[in-house]
Amino acid sequence: MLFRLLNIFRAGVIGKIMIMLADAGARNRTIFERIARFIVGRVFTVPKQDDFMADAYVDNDEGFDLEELRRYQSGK
Amino acid sequence: MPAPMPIGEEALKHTKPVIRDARPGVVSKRALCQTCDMQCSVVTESVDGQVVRVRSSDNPIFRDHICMKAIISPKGFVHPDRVLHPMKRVGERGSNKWERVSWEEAMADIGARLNDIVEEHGAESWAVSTSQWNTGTDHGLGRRVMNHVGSPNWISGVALCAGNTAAVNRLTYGWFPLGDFHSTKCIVLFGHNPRRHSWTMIYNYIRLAQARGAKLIVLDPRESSSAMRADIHLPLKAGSDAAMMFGWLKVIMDEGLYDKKFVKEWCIGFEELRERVNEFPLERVAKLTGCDPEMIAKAARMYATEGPSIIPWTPITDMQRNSTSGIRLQSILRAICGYIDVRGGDTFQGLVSGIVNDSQVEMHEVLPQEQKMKQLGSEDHPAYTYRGQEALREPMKRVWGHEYINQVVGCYMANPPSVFKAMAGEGPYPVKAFFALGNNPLMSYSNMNRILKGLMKQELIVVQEHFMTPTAQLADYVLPGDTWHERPWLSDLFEWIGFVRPSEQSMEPMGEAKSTWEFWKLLANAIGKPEIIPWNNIYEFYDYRLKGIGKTFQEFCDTTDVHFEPIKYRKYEKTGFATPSGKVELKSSILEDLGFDGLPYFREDPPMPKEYPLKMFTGVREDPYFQTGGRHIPEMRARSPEPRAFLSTKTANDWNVETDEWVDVSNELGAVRVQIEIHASMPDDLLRIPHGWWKPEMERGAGKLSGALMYSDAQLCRDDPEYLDSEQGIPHLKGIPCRINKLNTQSDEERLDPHAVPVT
Repeated sequence: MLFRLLNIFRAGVIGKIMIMLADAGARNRTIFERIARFIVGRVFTVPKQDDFMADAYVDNDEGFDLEELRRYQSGK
Repeated sequence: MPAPMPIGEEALKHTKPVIRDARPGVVSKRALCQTCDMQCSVVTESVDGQVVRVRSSDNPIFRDHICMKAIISPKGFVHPDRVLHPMKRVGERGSNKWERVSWEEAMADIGARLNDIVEEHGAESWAVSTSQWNTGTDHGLGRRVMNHVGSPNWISGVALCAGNTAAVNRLTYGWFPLGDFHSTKCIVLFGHNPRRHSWTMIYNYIRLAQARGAKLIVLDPRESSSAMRADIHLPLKAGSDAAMMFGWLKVIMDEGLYDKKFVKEWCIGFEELRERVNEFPLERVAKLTGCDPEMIAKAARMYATEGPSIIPWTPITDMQRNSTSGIRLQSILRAICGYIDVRGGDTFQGLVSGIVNDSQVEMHEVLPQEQKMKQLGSEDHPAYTYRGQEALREPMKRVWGHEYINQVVGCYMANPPSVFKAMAGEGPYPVKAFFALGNNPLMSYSNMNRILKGLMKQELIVVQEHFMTPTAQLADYVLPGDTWHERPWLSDLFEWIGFVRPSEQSMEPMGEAKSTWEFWKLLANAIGKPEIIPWNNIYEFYDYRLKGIGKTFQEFCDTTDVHFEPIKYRKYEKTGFATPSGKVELKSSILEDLGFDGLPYFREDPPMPKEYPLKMFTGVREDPYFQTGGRHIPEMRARSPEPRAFLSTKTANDWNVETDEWVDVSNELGAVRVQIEIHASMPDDLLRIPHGWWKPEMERGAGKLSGALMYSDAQLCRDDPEYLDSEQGIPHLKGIPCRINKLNTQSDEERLDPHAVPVT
């Protein structure tokens, strides 16, 4: 889906619709904007088996615990 | 190199993503990661005023644009050894004896001493090196202060990485183009190998392009991960990029695959170029590059007929003996095939109107012409100096509206090797004061021993850094630099990419860390020229820059994720090209006027010294690190704990070395210690030496420099004329003669003796 849409992005009309949806989706306030965001998200989501951006280091990251950082900074 | 934006051609001017609901007690900010030069859009999450997490943007079009370096940054920036207070040297230079001083005390002394040096030796005796990444995002204030003081001697690593490419591209068609990854049908990578955790955005765009059917041609001596996915992989000899492109041009011209209409209407010098190209029949090119002539022809046809094609910027062609010719040949291929400023080709994005760009802040017009002509290196290697770019002032004004446009900050630089010679007392005049901001110049250029000599001869060295780098260890003052978590930023993508993006400040600076912007402001005050920087703080400065679009920085942050204008193609049809002739100069009038060959050419390798029968290349990134930074972070170090040289099984057998064995790799300049890693991807008789290695945990101070004297590849990088590109004076890093010395029970003298180790 993603690649097909990207491929015909140049056609103009679809490109403009996508941009309008991305613009609305970015605001994410009204129901329409949330739907737009959902659509854009779906379009830009690569099927899992083709997801060359999937990476355990990124996907599993939950950040650091504040106390852990403070202990580290103080050399403990 | 900042990455291109994912949507680049329609009316999406303002996108303001709303950050998804944050957890209680967590403050989220939108930021641009500045750990490397990609500028990925990310979100920081802070608890109690401390960034504890960095994740990828909530904006769907920037999804997954994040790598391990950004994720680990909260820990990297709280390392217990981070420099958090101004430090003044109290012992001999390099003795690693310091005392803590206040910013006021430090800047007063720095200002007074700089004024004395300028008065005694002239303004040109002051040189500055900055990376413009990490702590170096100064928005052109450094050049602004230097231009007002009168020094032209600003250098940067971009002299051999993108900045020089920008300057040389402009000689042909007056701008540095950017590949349209999203619509192209064919991508050509010269040695570049973007990966999930290195050049992340570019990797993403290449994979997306391939998935929708675009072709990929990779030219790389190694069978890199990109080469494995390519439609055509040409395993050319290291450093032979220019020869390869002559081969492509031979095929394209002989078979009439070029855009004849564009060439006729917009190019000059085609027939002379054809004569030069005829000197490179495919048999000769095959010999020079080591590639099969049929495959060379096939790749040339693919580039010329599958288009529009792009040849994205590559750091590899930047760093070769024939760099200027190589970059020019890339420009020429783009031009004669009609891929310039078209959808899917290499586009001219221009400047964003209404926004004061970095070049305007730099104020190059105030530096007197007499001082410009004193710029070190401009006599012998002028391509990216004021002298080399002088003839573009009028065309730039005519086409782009400004005389000085410092694309990728690389268009008005001094030549780094010439600056280091002057620092070492071997130049036309002495350099006596050296400032390094956000980079580690000792290890970032060629001939490290000369840089070391130059540093030791300085009267004043000022470094602004996060850590006690080997360069910082030799300074008079080490000043604490802030991190990208701790400062706001307004990125204009170096006047290369027509986008402007804000980055919010996520937390207060730690300790007494200050931004590079603040450093220049304090310096202007300290040298008695406060009027140079009239803004009280960085927010006021940003408001000034954004006034033309009617927003304050805060309003810009609130309403905008990325700001740009609709792309217009073939702009040259209205304005002509920003060259002296207004055309694409296949034969460069500027290079000719500077006394060089106006046509590209190929200088073959000098004969290999008997003692050094192997070749090495350096400059390749490792995923956990950026340049010389990052080795203090335990998680990153665990991934890449030691400097490892890659070589083929045959080469390992020839030199009787095994995986994990420690060896020295040496040449006439010195030796570096590396661990062997046998790689199936490596061609025979070629070594990959990792860039930028030092170990922050090792002993500091002159004679040790935290392992830099043992591991830094810059010790092997030559800067003699045979190994410099003529027009730019940048070093040849892709094919330096070397040898392997096994470590054994011999003394160092015996071990490093070229006759000590038999070659089997």
